[in-house]
Amino acid sequence: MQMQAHVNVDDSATRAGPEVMSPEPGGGARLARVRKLLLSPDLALPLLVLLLFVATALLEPSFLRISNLQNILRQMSVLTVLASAAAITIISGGLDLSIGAVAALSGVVAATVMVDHGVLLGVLAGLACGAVVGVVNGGLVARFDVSPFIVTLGMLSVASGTALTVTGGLPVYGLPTSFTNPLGYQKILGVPISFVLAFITLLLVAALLAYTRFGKYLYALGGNRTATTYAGVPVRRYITAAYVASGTLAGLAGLLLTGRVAAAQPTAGTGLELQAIAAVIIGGIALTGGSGRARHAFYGVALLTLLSNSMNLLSVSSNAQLLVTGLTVIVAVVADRIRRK
Amino acid sequence: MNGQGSGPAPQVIAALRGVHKRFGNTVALRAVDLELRAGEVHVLLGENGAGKSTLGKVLAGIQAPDRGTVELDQQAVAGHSPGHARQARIEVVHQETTVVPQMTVVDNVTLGSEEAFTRLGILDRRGMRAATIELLAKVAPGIDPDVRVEQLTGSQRHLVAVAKALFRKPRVLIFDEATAALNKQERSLLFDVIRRARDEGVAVLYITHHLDEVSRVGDLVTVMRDGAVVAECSADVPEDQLVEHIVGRRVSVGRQPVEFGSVTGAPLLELRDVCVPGALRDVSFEALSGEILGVYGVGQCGVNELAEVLAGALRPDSGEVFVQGRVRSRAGVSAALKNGVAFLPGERGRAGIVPTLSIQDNISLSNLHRLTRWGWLRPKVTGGYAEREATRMRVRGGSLRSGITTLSGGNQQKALLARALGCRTPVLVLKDPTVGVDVGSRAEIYDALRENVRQGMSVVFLTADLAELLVLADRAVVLYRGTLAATFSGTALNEENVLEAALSATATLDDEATS
Repeated sequence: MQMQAHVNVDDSATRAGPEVMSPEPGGGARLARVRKLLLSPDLALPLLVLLLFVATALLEPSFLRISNLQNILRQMSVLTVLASAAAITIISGGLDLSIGAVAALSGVVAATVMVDHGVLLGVLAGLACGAVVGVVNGGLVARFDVSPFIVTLGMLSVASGTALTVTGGLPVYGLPTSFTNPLGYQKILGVPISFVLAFITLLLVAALLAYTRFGKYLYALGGNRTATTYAGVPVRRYITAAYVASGTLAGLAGLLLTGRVAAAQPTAGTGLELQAIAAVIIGGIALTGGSGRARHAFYGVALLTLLSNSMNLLSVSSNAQLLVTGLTVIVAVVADRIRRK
Repeated sequence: MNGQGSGPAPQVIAALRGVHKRFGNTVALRAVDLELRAGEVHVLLGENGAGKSTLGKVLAGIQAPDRGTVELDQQAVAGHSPGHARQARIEVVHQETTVVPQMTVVDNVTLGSEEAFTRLGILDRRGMRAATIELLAKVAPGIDPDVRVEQLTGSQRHLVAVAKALFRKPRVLIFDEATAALNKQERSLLFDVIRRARDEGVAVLYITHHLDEVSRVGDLVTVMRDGAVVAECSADVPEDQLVEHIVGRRVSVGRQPVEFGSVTGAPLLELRDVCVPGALRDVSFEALSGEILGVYGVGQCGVNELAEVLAGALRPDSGEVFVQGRVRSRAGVSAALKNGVAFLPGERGRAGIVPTLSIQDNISLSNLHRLTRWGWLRPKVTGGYAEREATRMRVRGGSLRSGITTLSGGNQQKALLARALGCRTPVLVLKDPTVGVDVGSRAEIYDALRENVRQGMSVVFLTADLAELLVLADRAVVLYRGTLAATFSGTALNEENVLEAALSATATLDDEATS
C-alpha cells in the first residue's frame, strides 16, 4: 500500500517535471527524500519514544505513576552524561571504550577523598581523575596515532583494575549525606536532581559541539582528519582535548552513580560504555564520525531506558531484554546506513 | 639489432592492434599498435600520462580496451582477462611492489605457482625452496630466502617481486617503471636479469621515462605521447632525438612571459640542503616575493616528499627551511601556517575537502581561530568571511551552507584555494593545483595566483603537468631522482629543456637563461 503511494508520487513528479529527459533521477530523489525524512533521527526517534511511551502506558497503567516516571529519569541521568561523552569522541572520528570503567574509578576516588576531606574536594578529585585518564587516552591516540579502540580498551582494564586494587574489591561506604541525599532522592519541582544535572551537562555539550570552535574542529576531524591537518588545525591538541572532555564527563557520571546508590562500587561501570555507545548509535550519530548532534545521543538514551523500564514492568526476563537491546542497536545501524545512502 | 642476429624472424608473442581506451573524458590510448617479439626488449617511453601504464595493463588483461584487439600468439583474444594473461604466461612487475610483507621470500616468490609443486595435495616445500634459491642467486644475491619480506628494504622487496615474476617462467615480461625504487647497483643487476631473460627467448616490455635506460636495456623503443604511439625506432637513436619525439611538435602554450627584472623581490621561502632519506638529496632553492615558482618532476623524483616538507607535514632529515629569513624549527602543518606558509594539498578528496562540512565551514577551517571570540563561533562573522572569500575566488554553486560535495571539482578546488588564500600568508604552496579541474576554473585559479603574486606573495606549486608548469611558472625547478636537476626561467623555460632535465638530468644547475 505504501509502496503504491510512492509510485504515484513518482509518476506525478515525472509528468509535472519540465525535463522529460530524466524521469529516473527526479523520482528517485523524491523517493530518497521521503525515505530520508522518515528515517531522520529528529523525527523518527522522538516518534518512536512517544510510541513506546503510549504503548507501555496502555499495556501497564502503573507505568504512568509519578514514582515510576521519576525512576526513569533517575535511571537516565548516568547514561545521559556517558552518552554525551561518547558522542564527543565518536563525532571526532574516535572512540572511548573506557568511559564506564573510568566512571567507576572516579566514583571510588571521589568517595575515598570525600570521606576524609569533604564533599567539594571529593567531587574535584573525581572529575580530575577522569580528566587525567582522558589526557593519557588522548595523548596516546593523538601523539602515536594508535587506534583509539585499542588504547581505550586497554584503559578500560587499567581503570577497572585500579579501582578494584584501591578498594580491595569492596564498595566505599560512609559518604556524607550532603552528597548522597541530593543525588539519591531529592528533587526540584518533582524532577530528580541527578537528572537535572545530567540534562544541564547535555545542554553544555550540545552548545560545545554546535557553537564553539572546538566543536567545529571535532566535526572536521571526524569528517576528514588528513584534510583538517593540512588545513593547519593543530589536530593533536584537539584530539587530546576530545578525550579529556570524554574522561571528565565520565568522572561526572561516576559522581552521579556514586551519589545515587550512596556507595562507590569498583565494578559499577561494567558495561555502561557499551550502553552509552549503543545509545549514541541508536540516536543516529554515525560511528564513522563527522556528524550528529548531542540531542541525538539523548534520543538514544531515552529510547534505551524506556525500553528497559517497560520490559521490566511487563516482566520480560533480563535475558530477553539483552536480546532486545542488541536487536535495537543493529536495526539502528542499518537504518543509519540506509539514510546516508 | 635485437641481439639475435641470424635465424628466422623472431616470433610475435603478444600484440595490440588499434587499441583505444578512455577514462571518463581522458583518452588514455588511441589507436595503439604494438608487437612484442620473443627475445627482444621493447622499451616504452613517454612522459607522465602518456598512456604507458595503461598500455601495460591492457596487455596484462587488467584493463579491457574500448576498441581494438589483443593478440596472443597471433590469435585475437576475446575478453582478455588476467586469467588469460596468466595462461599465456604474461607477467607484470608493477611500479608499486606487490608482495605480501608477512610472508617469507620463498613463499612470496612461489606464491601462485604452488600447483607445479603439489603432489597428491601435498606441497613440496623443499623443492620450492631449492628452486627459489637458485633463482635468487641470479636476481638478488644476498637476500635470505627465509626472511620475512617486511624485514627487507624497499628495493630488495622489488627484486623479490621480479623474482616472483621470473619464477613463473614467463613468455612475456612487463616492467612498469621498474627501477624507480632501485639504486645504481641494483639497477644494473636488474638490467642483467632482463638481458638474460631476453636471451632465453622472453619478450620483454620495459616501461620507463628515463631516457638513459633506453640504450642500456632496450633493443627497440616505442615513444608514446598523449595516448598515441608517435615513434618506433631502434634503441640506439640519440637521446635528443627521443626528446623531440616525446615533446612532439606541440605548440608552446600561451605563457605570459614576465619581463625579466620584475622578479626582484626578497626571498620569502628558502630551502637549504634539504634531505629526506630515500626521496630528497641536498635540495636547495629559494622562492621570491612576486614570483610563481614551479616545481616539476617525473615519476618518483621526490616531488611528493618536497610538498610534504614545504607544508610542514614532513620534517627533513637534515637541512633547513627558512620563511622570511627565519629558520623553521617546529614541525607540523599548523606551525608552518603560523610561520607564514599556507598549503593546498593535492588529492582534493583525500586531503583537501572535509566532505561532511558545508562550503562555508570548509572555507573558514584554516582561519577559524581568527573568526571566533573566546572559542565561540560567530556565525555572522564566519558567514561574511566565507562569502567574501568565495566571491573573490568566484566559487559558483548553491548556498554556502550546503555541503562541499555539492560543488563541482573545479569549484571545490576554488573553495580550497579560498581557504588557503584567506590566511594571507606571505607564501602559498600548492600541490597539483588543477588536477580534475575544468578549463574555466583553471583559468580563474591561475588568475587568482597571479593577482596575489602581484601583491608581493610568493607562490610555489608542485606539478606533474608540464603544460601547467609552462603556463603558470615564472621560474621552474626540476627534480630528478630526488636531486635538483636544473632551474629554468625566461626563454630557457621550455618543454625541451624541462623534459630533458626531468628525464635524463643531463642539464646542469646553472642552465639559467639571461634574456
